[in-house]
Amino acid sequence: MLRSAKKLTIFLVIIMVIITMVLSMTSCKSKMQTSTGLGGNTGSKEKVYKVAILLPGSVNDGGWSASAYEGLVKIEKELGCKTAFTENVKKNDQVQIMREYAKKGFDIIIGHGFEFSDALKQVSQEYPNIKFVGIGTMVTGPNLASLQFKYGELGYLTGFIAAKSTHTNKIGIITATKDPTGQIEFDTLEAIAKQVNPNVAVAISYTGSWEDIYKAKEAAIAQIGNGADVIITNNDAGNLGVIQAAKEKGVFVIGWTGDYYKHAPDNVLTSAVQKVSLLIFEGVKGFLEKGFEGKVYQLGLKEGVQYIGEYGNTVLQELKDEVKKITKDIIEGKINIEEIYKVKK
Amino acid sequence: MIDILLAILNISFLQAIVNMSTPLLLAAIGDIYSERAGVLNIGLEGMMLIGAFSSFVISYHFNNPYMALIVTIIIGFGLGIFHAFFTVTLKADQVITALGENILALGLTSTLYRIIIGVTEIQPECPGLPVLYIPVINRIPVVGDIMSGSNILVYIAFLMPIITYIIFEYTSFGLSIKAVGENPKAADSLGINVNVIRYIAVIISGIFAALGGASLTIGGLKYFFDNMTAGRGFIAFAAVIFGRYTPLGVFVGTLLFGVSDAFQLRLQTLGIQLPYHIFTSIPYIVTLLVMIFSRQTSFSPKALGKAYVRSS
Repeated sequence: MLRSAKKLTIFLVIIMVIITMVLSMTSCKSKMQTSTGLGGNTGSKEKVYKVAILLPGSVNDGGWSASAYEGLVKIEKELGCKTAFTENVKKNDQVQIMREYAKKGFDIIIGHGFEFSDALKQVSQEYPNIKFVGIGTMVTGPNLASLQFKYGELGYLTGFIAAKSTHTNKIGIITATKDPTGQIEFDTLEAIAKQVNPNVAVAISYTGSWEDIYKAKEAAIAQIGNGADVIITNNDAGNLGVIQAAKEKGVFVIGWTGDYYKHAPDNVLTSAVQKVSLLIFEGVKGFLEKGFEGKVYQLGLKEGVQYIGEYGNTVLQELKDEVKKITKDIIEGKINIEEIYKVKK
Repeated sequence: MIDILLAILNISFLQAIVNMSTPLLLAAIGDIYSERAGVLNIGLEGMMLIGAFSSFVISYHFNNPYMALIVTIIIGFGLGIFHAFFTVTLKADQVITALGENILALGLTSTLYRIIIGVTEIQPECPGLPVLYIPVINRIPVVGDIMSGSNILVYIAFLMPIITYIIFEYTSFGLSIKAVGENPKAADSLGINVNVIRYIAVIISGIFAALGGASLTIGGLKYFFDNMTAGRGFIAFAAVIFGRYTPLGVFVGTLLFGVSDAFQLRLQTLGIQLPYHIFTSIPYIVTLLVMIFSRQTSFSPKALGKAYVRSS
């Protein structure tokens, strides 16, 4: 009796392991997309490039990782590359997954986010013939480049909009963790908001998690309780929780990364849209057409990879026009944003 | 200092405590049954995640949050049987089983979400549980204000410690659970069916863990998201140990966690120039401190973690 129970245990454990493996393969491991990927307009003999990307979150987070996935689809469709991606990559799996892609003969391997910096540096040295790219990173090497959004541009514009829209003179920011790129945006935002309206106070709440929507909502409620009536949320999935809180409590909110207008047209002022999809697409396109350089590429308003999104129903035409003018000035170089955040440092 | 007092001396702060504590309290209170019967349930996290997912999907598809609640209870029942089958019937290692369950739950919910809902432009929202208006409670001055926006799960969560206390102190069922967890052999010799009691206790734990997950979706955000429980199951498990396996202790433990989390979020809004890690770690530091200063020998049931083998 006891023996057969033991056999049954082993059998069931094996079944469970298999189920788990299959599920994790379909959900978080590489979904190899075996499209034919021959660019229609180019000759069929041309080499088909293989591009892989490692995502820190899931492809349906509606923000950072979803946008990268979009870019990858665009690369596959328009550049005729073969693509693959891995979702929900944990810090200690980064190196291993990159090596796997390198061994499988991928030409370009992309680490999507600042947290991939170390892994990119390490693995790029092991495979000198493969091009490595970090998104939002600062690392470079002979075969390692970084693609970045031009710092401060969106912080400048959202700071202006927020300061013009607040009645209580309190602006709240909600984000997950403190990282250098985000910090530059928020420093710029605060500096501009204070320039527009010296009485404005800006407070930042860190939730410590990009996926804990429940906590992001509570953080927003805390900000609103403190009197903030404009909240800027750069919290990936957490943005949804913040927007929900804004809707319930009747305050304004500015989304980040995605365009959040449709989620709450009366509460969303606008969104600081960062088209990660375009950043990656334009970046990879550049590598294939103009060649690869081991440097930091900065793309911004000028290249159209980031911009101010759809405006909410309550935003006046006057403000929209002002923002339009500032955007033009930034693109033409009349406003030097670097000076603003450097001073703050 | 006055700023800090102003930030916490209001109804919104108390409501935040209730909101933050409810999912933890549901999962932790249910877990007491399982632990007291001698079965470790570290699978709370996975059970919560499955509860959150299933309640979302049912409510979204059938447009009926109460139906979702009932289905979640049934699924929680199933999760309990699943865990009990491995740990009680097959006598598998209780920790390993739970780890497997947690990984399975994460993969299962994420995959099923993509199959059922897919990748959408706007995150789909399901109907949430309506606010439950109870005339007597809502007329009590402060309590009424705190509970004014609460749904049935919040009431269940805050009633459960009392019910659990009564069950453990005044019923033979509660006594049987304790006996089975302390000395299964003795209990067996007195005619208590050890395995049946353990099955029931684990099923209760499964149901309340699933409800804890449901309180995040249909009882709160109305969204579902990959891994949205974000470690709450483990915190609930810690709260059970922290609360010395007693309903009152667990109640205080989860509330303490809710209080310190709601407090740190308010502290951050004041713009105090300190590294934010200090704020976000306050709940954990508080828990650690209490554990250190309540230094006493273990309160855990003697047979906790051990499968009962009759023949020996």
